[in-house]
Amino acid sequence: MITRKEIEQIAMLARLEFSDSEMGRFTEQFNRMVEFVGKLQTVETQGVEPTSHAVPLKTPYREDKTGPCLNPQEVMNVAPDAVQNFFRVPKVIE
Amino acid sequence: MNYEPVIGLEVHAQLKTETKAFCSCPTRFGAQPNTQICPVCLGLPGTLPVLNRRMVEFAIRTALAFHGEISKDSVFARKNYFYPDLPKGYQISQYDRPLAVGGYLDIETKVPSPPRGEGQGEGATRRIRLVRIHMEEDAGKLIHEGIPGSEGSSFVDYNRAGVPLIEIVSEPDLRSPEEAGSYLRLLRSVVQYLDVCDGNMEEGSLRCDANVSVRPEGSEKYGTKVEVKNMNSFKSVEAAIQYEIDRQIQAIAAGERIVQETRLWDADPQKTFSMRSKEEAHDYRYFPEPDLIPVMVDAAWIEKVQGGLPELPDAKRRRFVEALELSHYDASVLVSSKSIADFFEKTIAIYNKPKMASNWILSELLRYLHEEGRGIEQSRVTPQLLAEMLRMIGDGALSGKMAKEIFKEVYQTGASAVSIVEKKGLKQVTDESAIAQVIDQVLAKHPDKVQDYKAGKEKLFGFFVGEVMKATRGQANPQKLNTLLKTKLSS
Repeated sequence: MITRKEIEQIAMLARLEFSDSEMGRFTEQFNRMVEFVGKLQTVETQGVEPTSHAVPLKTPYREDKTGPCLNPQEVMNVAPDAVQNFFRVPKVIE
Repeated sequence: MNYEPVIGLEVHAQLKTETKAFCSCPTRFGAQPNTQICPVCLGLPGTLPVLNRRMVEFAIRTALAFHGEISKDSVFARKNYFYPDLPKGYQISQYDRPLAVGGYLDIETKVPSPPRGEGQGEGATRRIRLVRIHMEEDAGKLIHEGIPGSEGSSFVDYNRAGVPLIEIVSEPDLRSPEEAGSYLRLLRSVVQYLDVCDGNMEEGSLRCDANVSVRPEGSEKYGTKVEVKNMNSFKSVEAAIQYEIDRQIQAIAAGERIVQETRLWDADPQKTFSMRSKEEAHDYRYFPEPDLIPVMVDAAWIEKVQGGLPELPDAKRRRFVEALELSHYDASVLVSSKSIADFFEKTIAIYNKPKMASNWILSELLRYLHEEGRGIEQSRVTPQLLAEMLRMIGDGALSGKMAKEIFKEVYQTGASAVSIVEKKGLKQVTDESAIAQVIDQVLAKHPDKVQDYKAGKEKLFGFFVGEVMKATRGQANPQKLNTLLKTKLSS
């Protein structure tokens, strides 16, 4: 059972803000989704290797050789805010 | 009541690769801000990470050196959090399937602490178990001041974002700040021997967080742990842990409850402070990184890396003690840094007198280097120069006393001992007739003292030695002088 409190927590983590009625609606919808996916719980998985990827691939590796980087001036030109080739953000410590 | 500290360390080591973990940007330290960035490490839409093979190899090498078990298919995961140093909004790390699990380090300790470990006293070791070693990428660097118009702003340099790291997590097996220091020093020396990390704590290529708790002596249950961060030297790691132990014991004694939290070490007042901004409990929502498939490491690769492992400090120290008959202490200091051990081994490869070489390196060379704040890599004395001087001592061409003077000059100028001796005309007098002549002169000058000596005042022997040395400017071979003087005085 997904509670409204959990929905609030998820919204907070995703940096999303919702109205009161939306919260209520999402709580109900989340519960329906979890119930639907819950059908999977009935499948017997004893002894089955966990899958973290659906496609069997061999790890593609990159050799440790340097390549070109971006020109910092060009990057700063399109950055929301920049000073002396640093990105500028609101202060994150007091 | 007596309390026992319980300490576990989490060490991040920056791997010495040319390029970042998932893109081909260089990893050079000290580059101009934001000059080593590309769409991948900036997390621009549509980019995909491609794993650096050498990162994995370095991680395997480290895990093998610490006796860890390498996973045949480990998995990268996304660790999600919002902070400006993290361009993608998540850090690519490993979570429930790390590259390696288990392993251990045998640290030297003065504390006899069964059941794990061997012996007591000098050379006693204690086994500190590892939980895991996993791979991850570094975050960018935040700067909060020193830039004009910086009020209310922080500044981000993403050069470090995506630089490959390994995290080495210990079990809570450490029991004192000294043991934590000992563990960290050994760990650093091993990664330096492996040549996977330069181990520079000041530049941040080796970083250490400590989990510290205390419990009543004899208790099996762990106390509430506090994570201490922000130490950038061995000294500060030990000081921060000691501070935290004292703080917790005092708090418990005062009837307070220890709060599980993260605290920052501040070197200036030498205190730890609670991190106020981290009030919300973290929820990293780890999940497998869909852009990277599992890291497959086959047995052939592991075997190849294993075969390429160098001799590690432990084994080297044992060899120095057993095969070269050095004292345990001397061997430990020599192997504590790969460059010192290399210097020593190069020296004895040229002139094979290990005890002598060890003494000169430990007592003279390291002292001078320390005074100047230089590393042995920047020494003007090369193994060749030291070996040459040791050979002169061994051949009797230079007394130990003269050698100290000569060595100072070798150290300062980088000139060879042979050339300095020649220039100064300091060659040791080993010619017996020349020494005998000086002895005769000295005895003739002090007939009264000779008489006193013969009457039983044997302490005067030192006086005669001193006079002969003075007359020869310290160049008489001491053994020959002693023998000749004894013969002459007893005749």
